[in-house]
Amino acid sequence: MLEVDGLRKRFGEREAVSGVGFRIGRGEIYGLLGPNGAGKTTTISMITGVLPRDAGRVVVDGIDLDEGPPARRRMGLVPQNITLYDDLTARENLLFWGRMYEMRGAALTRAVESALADVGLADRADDRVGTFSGGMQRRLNLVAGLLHAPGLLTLDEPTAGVDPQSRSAIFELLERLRDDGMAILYTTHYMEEAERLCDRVGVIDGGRLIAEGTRQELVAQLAFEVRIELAFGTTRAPERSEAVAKTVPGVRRAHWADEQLAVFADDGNACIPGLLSALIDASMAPTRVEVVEPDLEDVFLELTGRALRD
Amino acid sequence: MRFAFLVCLKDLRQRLRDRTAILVAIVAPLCLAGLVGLALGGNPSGFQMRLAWVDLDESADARALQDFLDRPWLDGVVELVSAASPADANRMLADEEADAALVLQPGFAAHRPESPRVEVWASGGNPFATRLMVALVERFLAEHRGGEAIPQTLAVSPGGRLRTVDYYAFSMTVLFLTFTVLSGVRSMQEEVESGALARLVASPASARSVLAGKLLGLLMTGLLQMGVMILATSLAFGTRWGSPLAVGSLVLSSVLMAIGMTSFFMSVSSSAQQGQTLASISIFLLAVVGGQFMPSQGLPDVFDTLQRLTPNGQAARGFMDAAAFGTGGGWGPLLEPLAFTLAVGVAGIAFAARRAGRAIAGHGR
Repeated sequence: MLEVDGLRKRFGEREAVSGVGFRIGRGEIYGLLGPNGAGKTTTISMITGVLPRDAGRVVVDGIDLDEGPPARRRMGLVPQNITLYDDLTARENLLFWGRMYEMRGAALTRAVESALADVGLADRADDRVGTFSGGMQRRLNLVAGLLHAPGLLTLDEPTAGVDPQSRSAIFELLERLRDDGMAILYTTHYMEEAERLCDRVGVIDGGRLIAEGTRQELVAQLAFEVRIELAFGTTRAPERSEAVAKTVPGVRRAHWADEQLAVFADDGNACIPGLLSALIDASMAPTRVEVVEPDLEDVFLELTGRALRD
Repeated sequence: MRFAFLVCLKDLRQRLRDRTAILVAIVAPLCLAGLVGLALGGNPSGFQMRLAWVDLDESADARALQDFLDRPWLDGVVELVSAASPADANRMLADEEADAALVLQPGFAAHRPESPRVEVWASGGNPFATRLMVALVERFLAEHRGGEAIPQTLAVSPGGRLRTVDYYAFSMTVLFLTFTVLSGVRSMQEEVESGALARLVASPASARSVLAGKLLGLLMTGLLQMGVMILATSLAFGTRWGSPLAVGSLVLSSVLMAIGMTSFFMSVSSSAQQGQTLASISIFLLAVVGGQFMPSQGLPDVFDTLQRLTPNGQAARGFMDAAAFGTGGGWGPLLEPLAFTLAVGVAGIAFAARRAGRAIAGHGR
């Protein structure tokens, strides 16, 4: 449904996007995961035609983006900010966005009513959007990009500042759309969202796509099998605990973050006794030990040496 | 074009729902024009000036000027009162027996441009009398001496009535037009900042048609406000705006001027809030310099020059000049305000459109 090849964009001396390329098929949610400033929004802006490309090609449903309206009407865009008009009612907002995507008449009316019902706003259809809560606005903002039933939906961090209930409602809607065959491009810097929602993930950093695949494929690339998280009752010197952990056989790497020690090892069961023994000998008995499966956060850390939230 | 209309209609709907904007567009200028006009203008029903006439030349040209001022269309506007000498005319002005004096020195008929032999003396009590007198004399000179004199404002409304309340109707309408348009320009800047314009550009509509729709929305807002103000001042104060063609041209150029001016200030600002502040201060200063709070007549010449250098001042002058059309004036006096306001409008819009394009693209970073 979407083919992106060699996207490049430069702002002055800085190359914001450097040769990004990927594919998204029908009925697939593709997550573009990266920290703030990685180039996600620039990439999505070039794909949707908001930002001119310095180089590269975007093809939507077999139609080159440069052909203009035929490609654009196959895409829906849900930007990071809420782009609704406070002075207009929910219905008027949707009617406006539907008309901008060349809808009219009974088809538009049906689509608007159905969208309002989908996000539970049918009873507030004639209220001004300015009176809505943030979560209600987010949901309306989302369906404004869906009215024309696009084959490809692009979402740029659509859950920023959203309460858990609305986030869950958005995820359920996106999964339903995916099941109906829609291709979805989803940018986020939340690893949990990418893991929960996306069928495949592209990891982007410094404007480059540094890894791509399913969660399992990406995790399988890691040089370790498990992450052991250790918490301590009292404040300990992070450098010392890291140094002690690194002396234990089977430990690949140790990293102090968020007031706990993360130890990466090939085999958790084999490694834990030695690790605990070494820490206790160094007068640093942990109060909690947890063995967890590595996740996309670990993938990003492994690839870039930085955490996603850094 | 369909997309441009959709964007324009959406913007108009938003403007019409904004009660503050309606207050600024209609209620405030009407109240201010009415109050200030009544406070400063005295008799609101009409204007009549007494002119002390001193003819030291006694030539055929002098008699022709006297006949010119005795024309029927000035009946009830200008009343000629003979003064025996310049000193007598001076006394009449001091005693407020005359609003202005016209002194034709010997040699008036010989006409030497480097030393004009006609003098218009003003009294402080009636700011419009001098303006009217200068305009009438220049008009006479232009008609009788091959247009050598530069025509200035002929501040007479079609019915031969020029009143303070009319002056303020023109100037307050122009002043609040810029504030009305500013609220639309601000909302456009907010759309740039929120990413709504970028979302519009991502739709099948081209960036050009989106911007055309925004411009059309601003234009319609301004035209609507001007239309309502013309109607309201005509009904409330009896203001006569003049020839529909002339007024229509000025309305269009003034609205474009207001769009250009406010979008320029907005586009050089880093946020909608900063743009609003910068534009409001600038509009207020330009209004002071442009004579929209006080007529420049009776003030040093530099104020008249300053008024002509401000787009809003030019627009207000234009409307005053247009009011003269029903009395047989011409397009001549209107060309300067029309050209000036149009040039400011087009330049401001072109500059702002360029910046808006970059800002929309910048939002995608």
